[in-house]
Amino acid sequence: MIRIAAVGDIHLGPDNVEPLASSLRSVDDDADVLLLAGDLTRHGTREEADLVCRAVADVQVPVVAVLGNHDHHSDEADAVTRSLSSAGITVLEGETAVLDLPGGTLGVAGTKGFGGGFAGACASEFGEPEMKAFVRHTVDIADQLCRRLAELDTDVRVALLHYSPVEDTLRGERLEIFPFLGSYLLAEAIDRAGADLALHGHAHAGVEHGVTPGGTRVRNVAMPVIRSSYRVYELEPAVTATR
Amino acid sequence: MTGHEPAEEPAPKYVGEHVRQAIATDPRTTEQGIGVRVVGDQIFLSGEVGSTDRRDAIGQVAAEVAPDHRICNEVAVTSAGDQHTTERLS
Repeated sequence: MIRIAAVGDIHLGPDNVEPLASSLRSVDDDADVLLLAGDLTRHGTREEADLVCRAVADVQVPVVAVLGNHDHHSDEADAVTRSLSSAGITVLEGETAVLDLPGGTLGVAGTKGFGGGFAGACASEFGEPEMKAFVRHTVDIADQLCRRLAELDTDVRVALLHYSPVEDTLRGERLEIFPFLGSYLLAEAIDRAGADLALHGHAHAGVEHGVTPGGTRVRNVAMPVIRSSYRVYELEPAVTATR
Repeated sequence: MTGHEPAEEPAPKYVGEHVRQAIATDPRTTEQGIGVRVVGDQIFLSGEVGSTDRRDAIGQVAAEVAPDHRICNEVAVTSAGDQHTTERLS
């Protein structure tokens, strides 16, 4: 059994770092790994990233993260990543992490993801350069996610995102902003490569549970959705051994 | 002078979106999910944030953008609970 704790959208500032740090102290008892689904900061500054390091300082299990849109806001994503990495947090962007855990091996393919919308009502790579660049960014990220997931040869494979791969977990958000909350291209990548679970954040007004068209479970772990400092998912490697 | 001079103040129907944009982008707030509803000379703010400081900052930013409106700050303060539930995926 692999136990995965996950949370996104913690949006740390000086006013909420201590309560979160205190609440995260139980994660070592509850899980084998902690996954952070982006928007760890409010403005994406190095100083706020240092607060994230403080919040997980007492966590002993491996911590793996992706960045979110807030973490890019100050154009200091590299500094944010360096800060998190210096505290032992593995930050993924189009990369993978393989962890040998007590219950089996866990592979995590992580990326921020991006928007564009969902099948039947999504943006196309057509028209002005700005529009094409917007869509191309998602296409490139999805292609990379597919490759990274496919490379993983682990007992359990997880896609760790900030943006949503499905509409299911956006229920409660305004329909008009769905294209800014995720893209079906991410789900297509997950379904092509295969995964046991996809985690994301970003949609504060959404819901926790969803599934890709190919049947991969999706969980929106944005803290305002799960109303907790983390949720734990238990996955049995034997269940997926036949894939 | 020919043509038309733009009005100095935006039409009232745009005030709500100006407030919402300010709340989303002002460094004091950067809150993306705050609801803004204009009713007459009142502006109702809704949503959830993680601290009273963040709620108060939202009200402050809204008041600066719409000084002629009464701000009804109904944003709720919620905190992450310590109850960590587990879901077994099988």
